[in-house]
Amino acid sequence: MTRNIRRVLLSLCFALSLLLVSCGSPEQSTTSESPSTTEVQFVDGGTVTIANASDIISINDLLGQSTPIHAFVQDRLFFSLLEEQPDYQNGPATFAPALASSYEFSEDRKTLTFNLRDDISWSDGQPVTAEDVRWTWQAQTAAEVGWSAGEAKAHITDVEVVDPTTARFHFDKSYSWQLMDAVEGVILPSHVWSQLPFDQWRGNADWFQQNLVVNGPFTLESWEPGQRIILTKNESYSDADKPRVDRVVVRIVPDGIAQLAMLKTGDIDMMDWARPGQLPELEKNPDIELKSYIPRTFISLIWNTALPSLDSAKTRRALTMAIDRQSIIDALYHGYATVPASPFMSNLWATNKDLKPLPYDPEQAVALLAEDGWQDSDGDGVLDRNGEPFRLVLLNGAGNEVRIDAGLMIVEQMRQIGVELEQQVIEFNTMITRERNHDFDVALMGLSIPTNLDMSYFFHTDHIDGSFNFGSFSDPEVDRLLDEIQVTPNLLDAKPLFDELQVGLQQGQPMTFLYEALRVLPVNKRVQGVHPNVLRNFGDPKEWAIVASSP
Amino acid sequence: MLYYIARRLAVSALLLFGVLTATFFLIHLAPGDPTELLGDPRLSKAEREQIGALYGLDKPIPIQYLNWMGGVARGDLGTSVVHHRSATQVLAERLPASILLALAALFLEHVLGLLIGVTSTFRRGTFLDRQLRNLALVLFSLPIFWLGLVLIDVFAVRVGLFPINMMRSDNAAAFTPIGQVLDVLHHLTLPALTLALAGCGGVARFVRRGLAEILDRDYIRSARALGLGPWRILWRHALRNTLSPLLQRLGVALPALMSGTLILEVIFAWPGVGSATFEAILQRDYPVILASTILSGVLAIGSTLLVDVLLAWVDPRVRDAV
Repeated sequence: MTRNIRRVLLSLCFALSLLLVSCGSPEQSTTSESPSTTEVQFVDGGTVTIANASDIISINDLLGQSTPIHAFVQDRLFFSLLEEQPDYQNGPATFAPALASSYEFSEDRKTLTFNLRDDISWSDGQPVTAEDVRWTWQAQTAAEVGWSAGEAKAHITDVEVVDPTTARFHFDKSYSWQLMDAVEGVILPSHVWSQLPFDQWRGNADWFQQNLVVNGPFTLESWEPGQRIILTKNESYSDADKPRVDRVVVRIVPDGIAQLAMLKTGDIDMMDWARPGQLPELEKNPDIELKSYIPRTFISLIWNTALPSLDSAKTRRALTMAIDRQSIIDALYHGYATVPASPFMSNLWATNKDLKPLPYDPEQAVALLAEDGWQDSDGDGVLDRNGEPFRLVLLNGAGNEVRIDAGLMIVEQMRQIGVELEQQVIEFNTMITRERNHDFDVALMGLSIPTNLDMSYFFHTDHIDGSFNFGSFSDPEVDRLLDEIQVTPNLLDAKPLFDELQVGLQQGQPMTFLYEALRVLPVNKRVQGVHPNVLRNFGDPKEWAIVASSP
Repeated sequence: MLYYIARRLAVSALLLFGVLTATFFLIHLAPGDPTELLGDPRLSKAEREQIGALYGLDKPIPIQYLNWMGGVARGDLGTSVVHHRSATQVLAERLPASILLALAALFLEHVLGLLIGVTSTFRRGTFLDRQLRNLALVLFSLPIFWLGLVLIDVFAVRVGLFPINMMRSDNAAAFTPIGQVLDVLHHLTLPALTLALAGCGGVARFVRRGLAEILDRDYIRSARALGLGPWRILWRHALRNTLSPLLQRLGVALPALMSGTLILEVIFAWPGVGSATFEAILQRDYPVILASTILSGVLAIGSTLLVDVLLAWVDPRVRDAV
């Protein structure tokens, strides 16, 4: 998952609950067992312990990796200018005041002015000022720093300090997600961290921990790499919504089985997520509550459209129709997934709700393939065309057993219509490299939708070289729609374009969108107020509270 | 003896150089580089290359090799591409945990192995001997991850005797120094026991085979004829002669344990070198992979050298051969 998790496009618990009622997911019954906040007493303080498979690699936002745990820690320690809200159901995400109390675009939308709050200080007592905002932008765009999300600032030409509480962003053009780009990343303490020149940042990651000042609700008590991160309440935090718990311990536990054992014994209050195979057991545990949301990852089969055997959209549609996606979901996801019609999540405002997934219809698939010239002319059970058998290799990443099992099911389903598919499980980095080089036939992988909904990276002709359009998909109509979406000032006005785009993607079928799997967060019921969502996969710790009767 | 040590050191240095050179080119020739895993789709090819250039990844591989070797000669193993700290530092903070686990496991493994092996030899041909040999074979064959999970389930989840994982308690900093040591030992027990159980079968079989062979020798028969008791023969005469090959085996076992604890480190969330190296391989963090290779190489070569020197010291035949 990428760094910009906090600006994602999805919605959460309320919409999800509605969705789950309609699709009969088990999630509804588990959450209803939870004690409501009006019936229970909470303690002031206490420690909440969570487990996460991976560690952070730096306390500095700009040196960290694009992982949820990095975002989790950063958002506890530092303010952003605005806080993106997980309200994607009916329109583009809104932004709540954070470090900035308000913002305003100029008439030509080429300047964006933020008015900063004057009541927020760093933990060493220094006020947070517009100078911090400007210096952070300089760091974010410095080549020596090499921030992996630096592209978000590509169209910001300057950040002007108007006065200590006013910062003005200048853009070289007007486009749909200027606000998102401007508020990407947390604001860093210039009065302390500017003491280390940018060209010395890489190689000195520890320096930032040793010289840490924060302005968020928590501060860093300790970080033992590979073991745990301990956050404690920041006593100098000036906001009214102070956290109720005193301490958050993040234990680094790579193994999901070990995490489950720790949850069962009460060693931890939350796992990072429930692996699909663990769900039936977790559902039966009376001490555990399962919280779920739709992540922005779409799991798909990417077809290499540059291959002669896969260059026809009709053939690709036929292959999709030969896959019984529901049977994969039933076998592997225990009801915690649905068949999607497009890469957009089902509860997203931009999703074309009228579009239905292509049906599972192997007979129709065979007919469509025959129209494209694929027939079993030699009776060996494998379709062929011009003497070439329909044989493909499916690349799958090692380590994800569910996806490997899904791959095996797909192999068998393809065999039934006469397409010979061979699954090759390889190391993930090698797989990415082969995909970037278009050196593959079919690949099963999860991709994350960018928070600004810009799908160009996956489907635009311009992104075939070196980007995420691994399958070399090229469709002038899809390109046009993607270009138009990008220049629509108000993204909500682009809804018809998004609808058309999804129809175009279904027709062109550059990928088979396999399933939309819920991300399930198992939580010990002693901790309440946990509302995970696509922006914050553990929810907001400021809302967490420990039930008074719990040990 | 000094000449022997000097010759062994020179050969070891050459061997290490060869291993490092081969590792360097192999990992650089493997598909992918650290920038491939920068997953933000907004990152263009040019930007990825720019980030790669910060670590010298834009230079031809032979130049990278020469730069890296130059750094090694100066004692600089490079900067981790992922952690943005020196590769030495990344591994140094993980090394104590690995050494502790390896030594504890090695100690337990040999105590248990010796006990099983000696008892089995002492009761040769009996029902107990057969059962102990079967036990040694079973322990030798058990998958280590499975054994670890079983021990966690029994001793941590069901009985609650030991912590499930980690190396310290969350609040260990508040403990007294003795409390902190006991806390680490408490956390160490299950992973060390897992490793020891998996390894003691091999030690037991090794000891039994060696002891059985020695017990059939003439000088043992003479000792029996002189009326020495079986335990006295065993401890005074037979076992001492088995220790020499066992010591040799130890020289190989320590580095193997250090590098072979990866799965265990993952299961027990043990912050050792194995898991750090594994992560580095997945993320193509070249400096850390190479630093880890140096560490493994030095350990393997150093421990075999140490054992050889010890053997030469305790065994006049070896010394004379030099």
